[in-house]
Amino acid sequence: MKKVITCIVCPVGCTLTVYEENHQIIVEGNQCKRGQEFGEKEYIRPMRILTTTVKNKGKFTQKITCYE
Amino acid sequence: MTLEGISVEGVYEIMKNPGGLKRNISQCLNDYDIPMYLSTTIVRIHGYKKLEGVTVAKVDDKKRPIKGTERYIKCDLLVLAVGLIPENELSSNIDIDIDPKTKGPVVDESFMTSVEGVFAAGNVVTVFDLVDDVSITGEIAGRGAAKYLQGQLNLDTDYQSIIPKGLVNFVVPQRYRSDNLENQLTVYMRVKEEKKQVYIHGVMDERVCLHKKQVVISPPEMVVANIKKDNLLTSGDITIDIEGGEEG
Repeated sequence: MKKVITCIVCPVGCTLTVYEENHQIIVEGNQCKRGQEFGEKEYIRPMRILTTTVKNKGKFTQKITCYE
Repeated sequence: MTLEGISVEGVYEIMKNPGGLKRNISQCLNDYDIPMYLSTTIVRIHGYKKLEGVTVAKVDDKKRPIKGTERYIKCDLLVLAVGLIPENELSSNIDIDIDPKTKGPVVDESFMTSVEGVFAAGNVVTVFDLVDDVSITGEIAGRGAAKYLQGQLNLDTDYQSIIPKGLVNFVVPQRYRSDNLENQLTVYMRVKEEKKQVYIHGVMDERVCLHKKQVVISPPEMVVANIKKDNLLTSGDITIDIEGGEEG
């Protein structure tokens, strides 16, 4: 399966094409090593870091901040 | 907003191209299946005391709404993102020269403003996209202020200018005194349009002082380049332009 992904490693934002061939993940469109690594990870298991809040049953606050 | 439980109907952008970084569009919109509508703007806001909806319309090349393309969207929240400009209340109170392009103070290599002994840095000078650059300019201004207090900052020689040309919309700093430079002069630029495979080209008196390859340049992304002190002439101005390139 071919996936078209925007690389989010740096501000350049390369458009990556990622697919599998002979049990190998091929990343195209990247311009650096970090893009290769990101493309592979994004293909197998996409992960994000995000900042948000979660509801909390505690006494003092109804929401706590959450990182990751 | 999606994470906090708000259902986001869409993002409407008046320009033909998105104004944000690609990675932000990917992580903030695409990850949550939020559509972005380009060349579209809000023409009417409905509701009294409480927002009930908005009317959007497509715009033509001159950003004028096109009749017949209006669409009503029921909503109870509208977030306007209309860009950032530097905060200049302090600067204008002491008559610091403002650059009409950056809308912030004109600064020199040490990020000193036109008023001697007053330094500016970060988003007061121009709105940066990366906090890294904000911090770096803070360090430059800090070092400059320390030198100034020790009487080590040269204030006497004439300034040499850094002039934007062609696709370069502005350059920060706008001027410098070469004897105040340590090893290099770092310049921050914003460009007018997107282009791929270009060179950032700096010339002084027909001599090249900067020739840096850049994979892509685009208006929402600040371009940073370092000019080695050895490549600078002790008099005359630097002109910075974009050379070569394919359409974005």
